[in-house]
Amino acid sequence: MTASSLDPAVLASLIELADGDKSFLDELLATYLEQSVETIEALRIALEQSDMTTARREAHRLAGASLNIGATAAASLCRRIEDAALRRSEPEMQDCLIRLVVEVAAVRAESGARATPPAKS
Amino acid sequence: MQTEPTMIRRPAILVIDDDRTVHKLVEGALHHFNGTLFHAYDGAEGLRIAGELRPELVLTDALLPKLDGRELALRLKSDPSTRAIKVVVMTALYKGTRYRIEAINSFGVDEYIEKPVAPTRLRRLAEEAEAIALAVAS
Repeated sequence: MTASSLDPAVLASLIELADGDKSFLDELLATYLEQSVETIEALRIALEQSDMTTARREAHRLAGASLNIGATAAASLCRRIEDAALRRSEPEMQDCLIRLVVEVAAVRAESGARATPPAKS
Repeated sequence: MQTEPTMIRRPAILVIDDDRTVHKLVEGALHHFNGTLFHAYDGAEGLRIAGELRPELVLTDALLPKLDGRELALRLKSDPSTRAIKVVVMTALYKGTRYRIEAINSFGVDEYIEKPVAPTRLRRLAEEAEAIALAVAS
């Protein structure tokens, strides 16, 4: 069995937050995925330029966003990038970044699988 | 053109965070909120909007591009025209008691809360903003 990339308890609390409106969760996940693409690209550039300050800031933001939607594995990888950037460990950052790309792809797949179908007109 | 603060439906809450999911979550938690939500994505933009609109509540991240959230609080509290704005700093980074005490004593922050912020906490803050707006109006 494959482990879920999104914590079901967090997803349930987000649906409850919007009084059961599942489209709110769809929009939140879409916002997260759009932002994560931008952040991963910024992390790639920061790593290429050995810009550890930007790498830490970008990883920190995506860690928080990941926790907000229950993407705990992605959050954990972001935290590792933050720590590795503090130690200037570029190989570890590179390794975590590759894993992060895979993890965000898994979040995207899971989000797509659970998305609310558009209402028929 | 500067917006006239009195024309805004009160209370007004300004959310400042470079993480767009936070803005979305606040919108979700406050979907019954009867005032106006404003959004800024860095500290400098937040400071400008707060100065123009004078919201009842500023809800800001600690670590922001361009201007740190605690520095933003200090600037708002140092200016007589924005001093009354309640400033709540949200943080996932500076969690120790030392940071909390420093934020309150040195930067004039009204409240210092940990991220992720519980929806119930956000709703309570919105209620407090409503109470502030009522007190100002009466």
